[in-house]
Amino acid sequence: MRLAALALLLFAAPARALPPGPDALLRDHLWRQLTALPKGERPTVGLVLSAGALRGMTHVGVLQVLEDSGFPVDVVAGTSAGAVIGAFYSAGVPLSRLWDIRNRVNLGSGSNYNSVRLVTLVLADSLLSTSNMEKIIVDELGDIQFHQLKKPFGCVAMDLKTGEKIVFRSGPLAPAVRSSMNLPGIFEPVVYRHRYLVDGGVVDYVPTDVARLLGADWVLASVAEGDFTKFQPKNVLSILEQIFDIRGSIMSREQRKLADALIEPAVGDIEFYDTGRAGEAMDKGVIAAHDKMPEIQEQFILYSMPRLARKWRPGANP
Amino acid sequence: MAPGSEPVRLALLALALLSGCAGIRKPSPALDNARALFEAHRYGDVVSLLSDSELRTLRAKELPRGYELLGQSQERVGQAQAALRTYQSGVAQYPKDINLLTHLGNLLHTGELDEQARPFYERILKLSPANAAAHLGLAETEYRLGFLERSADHYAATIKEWKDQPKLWLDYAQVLSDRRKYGEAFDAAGKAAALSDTAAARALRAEILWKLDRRPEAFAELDAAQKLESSRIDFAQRRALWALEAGEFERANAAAVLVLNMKADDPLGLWVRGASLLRRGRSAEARRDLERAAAQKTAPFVAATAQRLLESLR
Repeated sequence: MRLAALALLLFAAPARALPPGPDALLRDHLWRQLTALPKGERPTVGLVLSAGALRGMTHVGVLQVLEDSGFPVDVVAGTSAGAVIGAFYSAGVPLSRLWDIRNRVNLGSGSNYNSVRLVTLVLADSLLSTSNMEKIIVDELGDIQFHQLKKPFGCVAMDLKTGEKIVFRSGPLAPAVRSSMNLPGIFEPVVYRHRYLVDGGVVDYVPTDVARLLGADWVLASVAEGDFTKFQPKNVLSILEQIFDIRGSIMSREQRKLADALIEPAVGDIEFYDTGRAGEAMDKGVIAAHDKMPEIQEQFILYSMPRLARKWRPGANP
Repeated sequence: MAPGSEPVRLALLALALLSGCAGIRKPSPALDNARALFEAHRYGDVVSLLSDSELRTLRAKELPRGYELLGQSQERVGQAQAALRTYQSGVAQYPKDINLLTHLGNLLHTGELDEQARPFYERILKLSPANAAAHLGLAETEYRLGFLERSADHYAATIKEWKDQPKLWLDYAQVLSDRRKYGEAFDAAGKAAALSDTAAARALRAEILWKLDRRPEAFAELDAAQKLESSRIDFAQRRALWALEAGEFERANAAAVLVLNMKADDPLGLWVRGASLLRRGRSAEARRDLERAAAQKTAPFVAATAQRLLESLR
């Protein structure tokens, strides 16, 4: 069997395959120049993390690749699952801790969902609660305010009474994130500051506008969209999920055009609460981001060329 | 006890029966023939010999080896799809056969189907946790997919078994460098160079030294790499870019000229020369080089950045 393995060394594409071409060499060179610029001298980078329920775990994989490649991220915006991951990331929680989530995710993590039968859900007056999510955030980060985060962060919810989009950028973090991930029809609205708040994914699936509001010049969006064409009706919950997926997809189509670059992990077939596939969703994020990284780096470099060129005027510092 | 006596005859009979029960039998002729043909590199003949009907004549214990010989022969005559089917049939019937799992994983991996290859390597490691071939397969697939930490761990496990393979050390160094663990990467690249002083090992050491900001040493290693493989234009291109990055514009210009001597109209050579002229205030000459670089279709990113630089000159 050693021969078969050594054959792999000889015949398979190794870590270092062909010599790098001119595009790769120049990209490497300019990336170093660009990321070495102080924050005020290069474009402000906004990272947007879409809604997607369990699919949103894919954003952890995306963040891993961004970190590995030294991609600068200055501001973060998120909706629903994207708000949860974005909040932890903005607070400086190490990615290794976020990866641990795959071992701890169960339906009871943020709600009391796992003990309720669906018929009770349909017939009962009272919906489930996401109060546990608030507890998890406070346990993990303390009773933190937005301005205490390491990176500026914003998240989105909707006021069920008025239909308004509510953007949280200040005040206590935990209730804001909880409101953002509060799926209507399943979880009871969060009553906060006289509003009845539900999941922001209903009004803003890919919050690129929030990133711009936070000061982003250039926006990279990670989009965890469901593939609603594969729908198989199973129960009331699956129908609700389909409605969210369709709405999310329609919104996402327009909103993604507002981003400068996109990462679209292949998580369309992962269902809303398919916790057994959390790890898979995270892996898909790595695979998609890794595949797209050279292209995204090039896009960011090209966008930043005027600023780099200014530095290269005669007499400017190297 | 006298030979030919009843107890002796009974003992001999018992021995014969036991030998039969222990399965001491000759291999099937088909398998024997296939092996001989394979060793003689007559792969097409192996494929012809080991048809479906012939495979069915093999005993259960021999069949995995039959699949293995057939699959490998099919690969060697360029019948990758057929080899894939052979290995898949083999694995379906013998899900714990490590050789078949390895061949299937390797074939998928070399076909760049890394997500599909991974589960087979993982299955091998469940059966045999120290299996170096599976660790190597995973080291490469995980790298390709973007899982740098996992890849590094698998390279480390492979190297425990195969310490004297310079290419392994080199690939390991590359992964460590990508993870920005430059100290460890430099050591690993050094081991590769010590085992086999190649241009690739020297070039990787040069890259790592550059990232560690040890610039004079980086240039020296790159020069050593170029001496070992003088035709490598990417070494010359890198030297030119590094000189530019270091603010040594005359040196960058000279290095770019060397690139253009190796290949006229090389887009990166033009780009670096243009950029170095720009930095020295010679905008008109810079423009000419950048316009030529912007017109190059073979390097679209070089062309696009040249175009942006031109726009900034207006």
